[in-house]
Amino acid sequence: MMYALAPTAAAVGGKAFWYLTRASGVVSIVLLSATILLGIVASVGWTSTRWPRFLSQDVHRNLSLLCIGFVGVHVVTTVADGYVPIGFLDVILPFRSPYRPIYLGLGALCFDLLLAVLITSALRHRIGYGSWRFVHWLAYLCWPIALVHGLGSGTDTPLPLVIGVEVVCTAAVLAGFAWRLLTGRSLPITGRMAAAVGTVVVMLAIAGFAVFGPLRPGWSHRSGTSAALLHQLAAKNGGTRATTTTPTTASAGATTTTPATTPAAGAGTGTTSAVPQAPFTSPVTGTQSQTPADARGGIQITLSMHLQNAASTPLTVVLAGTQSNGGGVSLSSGTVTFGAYRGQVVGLNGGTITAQVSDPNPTTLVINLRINQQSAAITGTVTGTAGSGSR
Amino acid sequence: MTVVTAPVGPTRLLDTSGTADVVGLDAHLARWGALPDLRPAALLDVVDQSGLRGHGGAWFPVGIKWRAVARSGRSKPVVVANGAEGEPGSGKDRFLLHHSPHLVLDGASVAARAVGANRVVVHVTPGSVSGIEQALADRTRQGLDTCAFEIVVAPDRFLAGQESAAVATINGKNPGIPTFIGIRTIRDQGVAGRPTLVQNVETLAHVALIARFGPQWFRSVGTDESAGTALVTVTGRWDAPRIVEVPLGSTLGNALGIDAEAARSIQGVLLGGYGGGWVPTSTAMSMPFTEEAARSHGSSIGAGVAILLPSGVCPIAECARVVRYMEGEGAGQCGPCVNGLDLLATSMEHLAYRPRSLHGGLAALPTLCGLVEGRGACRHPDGVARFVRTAIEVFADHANLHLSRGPCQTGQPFLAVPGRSSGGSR
Amino acid sequence: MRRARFRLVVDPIACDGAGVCAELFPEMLSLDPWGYPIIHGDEVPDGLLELARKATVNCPRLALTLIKIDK
Repeated sequence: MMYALAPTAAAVGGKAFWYLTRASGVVSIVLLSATILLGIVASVGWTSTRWPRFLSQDVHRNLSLLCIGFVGVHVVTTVADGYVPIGFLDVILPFRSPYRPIYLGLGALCFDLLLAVLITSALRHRIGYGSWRFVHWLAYLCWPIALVHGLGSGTDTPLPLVIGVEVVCTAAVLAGFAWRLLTGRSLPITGRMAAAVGTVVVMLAIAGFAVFGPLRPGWSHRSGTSAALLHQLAAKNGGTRATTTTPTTASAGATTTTPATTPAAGAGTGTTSAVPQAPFTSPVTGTQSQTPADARGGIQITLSMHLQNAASTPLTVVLAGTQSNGGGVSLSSGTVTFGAYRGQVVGLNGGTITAQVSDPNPTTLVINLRINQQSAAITGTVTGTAGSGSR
Repeated sequence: MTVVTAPVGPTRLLDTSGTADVVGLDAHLARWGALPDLRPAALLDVVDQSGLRGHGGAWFPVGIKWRAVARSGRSKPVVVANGAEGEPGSGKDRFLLHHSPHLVLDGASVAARAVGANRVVVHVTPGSVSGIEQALADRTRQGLDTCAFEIVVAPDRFLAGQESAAVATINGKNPGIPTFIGIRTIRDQGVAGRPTLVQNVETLAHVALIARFGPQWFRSVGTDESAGTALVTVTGRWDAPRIVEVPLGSTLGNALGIDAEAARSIQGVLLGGYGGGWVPTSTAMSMPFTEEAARSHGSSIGAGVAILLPSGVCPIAECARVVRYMEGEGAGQCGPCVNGLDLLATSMEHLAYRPRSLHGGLAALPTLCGLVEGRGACRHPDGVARFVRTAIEVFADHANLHLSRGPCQTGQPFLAVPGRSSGGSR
Repeated sequence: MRRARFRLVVDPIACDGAGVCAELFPEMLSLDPWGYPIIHGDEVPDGLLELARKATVNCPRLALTLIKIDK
């Protein structure tokens, strides 16, 4: 059985930054492509009776400013969201983020290049044409870097709409670049040939990367994020975020990489003794039951489990939701009882349930379950990490 | 102490030309004596009062230029003694550097003292290098100069002597190619970014005499506006080109001994060389030989060039060859010059050899000239335009004959056109 | 006090004949047959200074400048 948490108003509010980051990233690459195209139109010098050359320049400039604006939103929301630990330094200094260091680093590199182009353009009259032009050529470099950054770190990479947008942008920019090279009277022919060959090689490499990298499952594990961080991320309250990048199997794989702590190693006294001290990973078994739908279609699913440890700690998850006409179930909330701990389900994704429980110490649980539909028997693992104060 | 007498009359720079091929330092000092020890302010005053103007072709008042450099004050100025004459019709700078190197070096020394320079660059064509090296060695042995002298060799091209091109050569960046000066001037920012005085070698030779004999003596020859004498390279008067010293304001007819009879065998006179302009023979022989007079006839005396075109050659074909040469000598930097000079050269070639291909008739040429005048970084297109405009005027009858009866049989070319310089366009 | 007076100057070496200046400031600039600007007149009239400035800022080669006329 697979579950999905319907986004509630609160959930949307909490994830607004995350959505903004993703959307502004996609818009940015579209605007960057358009900016480059208009720049090419301007530098090639194409005009018509209704489209003078200064118009190309003006639109190029305004699009570039708009693009920088969206990149700014993209960067600020990424940092502000905090789901992944990306600081302001990671945004400026490439390749030092613990989260997908290479692909986020490319984003930082692209951001730096854009800033360089922006600043040199603003100071064009001061620094002279030669320096300005040199830096401005880097804007061409910006584009493939931005593309790989988007492919490699984007949550939405496999979405057909996003793939479509990227294909259209790529085709447009490549066509524009070819036009630029064909008409580049100020450039030596050898330089233009080299640029053409280089472009083909780079684009083939990017296409290959996309097909064998982000578009195949399990990318989040191969993209360079440390297992520890992945684990931490999975343990955070945003299970639904990983919809496309963190397939169930991958998360399960991640948990196995974390050394299991000795059950009851931190066992205290009395009623709470049954709950192992975080961090821990333990197998669970149990059963599933479901109440019949009430008048408004409301249902409850109860998962009664026990940890496979000495104390056989009880873990009960009660999920509330509604049965839709089609027979599907849409879950909107859940409560968790774990020994003496009480808490809420904060994320649901397929067979992975993320919950936060406390008493006396806040603990984040990531519960991975496999449910045998015939027998309603449950097997799986539970991972606990200390606290949630980092959020 | 030997008594030194100022030359009386119009022979000044050529005073010693009868005595030796090269006037060495001893002979130089014997004839002219040592330079008087004048303070910079006094030197500036003397040069101002002399009314000396630049003999490189621009005829700019020397005193004004020196004061501008002296006052620039950003850093120690540099003096450039410019002897890189690229004009094929001119040979006086090379002659002077060969014959009287110490007059030039004296002048450079005076200029350096006047503007406060500590560095003098002697910018010359390859042929002048050994003579100047010798002269500098002699002067060093006698401890004559207080500032450092160096020699920089100019590339062999028409534009090499142009002020900004000379500075480019000395700075080692795009040798012989002019730069766009814009609102700055070489006087403020030239060699090594320092205030720079670029002065023609003949001008400096005059300075050497003015420092010794004073402004009154200098003004005793010439006109109020154009004082003193000028070395003129004359082609077409004798079998080979000759350098003559002409009192400014006198007539070429007198200076060259050409009477009305002799003038009949001259089709026209090119003043100022290939960057100058044509003047009808009668005008050239009777007008005062000054830059103002030449300009009033649409020409220029340039660096002191007079080329007498003999009858019996086709003036249009001669001019066409020169314009094509000048087109090829352009630096290839400025759009209007690159496009305009090529079109001008093609139009002149049409007029000379295929008159029917000339679109728009003779009137098309001045229109074309208007498209290039004042639109280059240097004055190269302006010079070519002046050459073409005046050629069409002076040789209008001949040009019309081409249009009505077709081209002349081309005979032996007269105007020397050097082979394409190795530099070519960039 | 007099206002500063300006004139337009083209750096003919830098200029590559893009023609943007003449599009933006036809009042004082036209193009020759090869697309290079020809400046008409000397001083830029006060009322046209903004247009002239826009033309200089938009020159892709930074070849057009407004310079103060020395009094």
